[in-house]
Amino acid sequence: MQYLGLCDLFGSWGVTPRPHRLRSALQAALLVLAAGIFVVPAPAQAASPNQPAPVAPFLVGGTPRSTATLTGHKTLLWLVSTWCSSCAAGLRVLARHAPLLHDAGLRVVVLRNVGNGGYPGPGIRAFVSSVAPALLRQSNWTFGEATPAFEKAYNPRGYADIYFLIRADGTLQTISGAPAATLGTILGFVGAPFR
Amino acid sequence: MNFLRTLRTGLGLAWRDRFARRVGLAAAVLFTLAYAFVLPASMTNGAVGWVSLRLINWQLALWALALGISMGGVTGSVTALIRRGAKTRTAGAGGGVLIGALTPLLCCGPLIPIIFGFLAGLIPAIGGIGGWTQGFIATHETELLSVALALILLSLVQNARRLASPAACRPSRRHRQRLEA
Repeated sequence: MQYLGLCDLFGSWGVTPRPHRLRSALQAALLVLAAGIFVVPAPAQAASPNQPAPVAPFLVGGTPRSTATLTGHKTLLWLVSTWCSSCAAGLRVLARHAPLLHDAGLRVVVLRNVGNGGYPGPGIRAFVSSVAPALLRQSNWTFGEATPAFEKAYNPRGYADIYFLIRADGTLQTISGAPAATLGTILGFVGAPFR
Repeated sequence: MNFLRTLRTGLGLAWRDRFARRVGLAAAVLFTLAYAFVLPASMTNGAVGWVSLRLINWQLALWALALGISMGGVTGSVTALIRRGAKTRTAGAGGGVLIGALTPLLCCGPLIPIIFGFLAGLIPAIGGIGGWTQGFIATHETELLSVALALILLSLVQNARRLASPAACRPSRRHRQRLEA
């Protein structure tokens, strides 16, 4: 029995495969990908620092709400996916500082990404209940779901964990993520000391 | 049983080589420290440093220890093999290090959404795969770290067997040429 190798196959097409060609092709593909990350413009992101926070709808227990109602208080608006470990860690860290955030007058709105960020997971209340159940009883905390319009305005790239610090006048101060790693930023926003 | 004896003989030979032992121990400490910094990065959106080390818990500390000690063993046995002029096997360990390091870095950070956002611009059909990929990594972190550890241990076994085989006692052609010169 005669076995045909890759060379026989390509040879019949007048092409000679060489290992270095494959490597060059892979290198070229990686270069294109790397260049694309920096060259391709980001999707139009309406939410940007020092601009008014975009008005967008979200759901709390199925009831529509709007970010327009967030003015008048300093707000931490946080988009999470319930499978994401930085979200769980962030919730735990914020729960430890919940009394401090409450006293500083910070309102916290935690919304689950549309479609849970592309991967199945528990609902927002089940997630909070498993990670930091005491937060469900905090008056300054709201848990809900983002809508597609909300995601388009605040998280067009679909980050699993992204938050927005909104001043009392409704302008955005900071866009960041992973509160467990950036707690100092949040405490600084409400004027609380970072320990 | 024969397999275990071969493994013990191979690792024993590496341990008795003073230089290989020192290199292996130093590598174990360095890799354990490196993993202690990198593994909690899944909770910091990929940020590595004191910010990630602060968030380490006992499970991640155990993983860092297991991966670090295994890498120390691989480095020590590879050093002993090189000193004997024998061939080494490091592909498995390389794969293990890569999986172990990438798992926490890719989990929840912005890298995958950016890459897949760009790719979706070229091939719209893959839109949404980025989130699924991140979700899969995040929810299968233990399994992925287990694969990483298994690959490193496989490499350790392969190198220990090579050390225990009589071929490892024969100097390589390059080593012989150097000796003859």
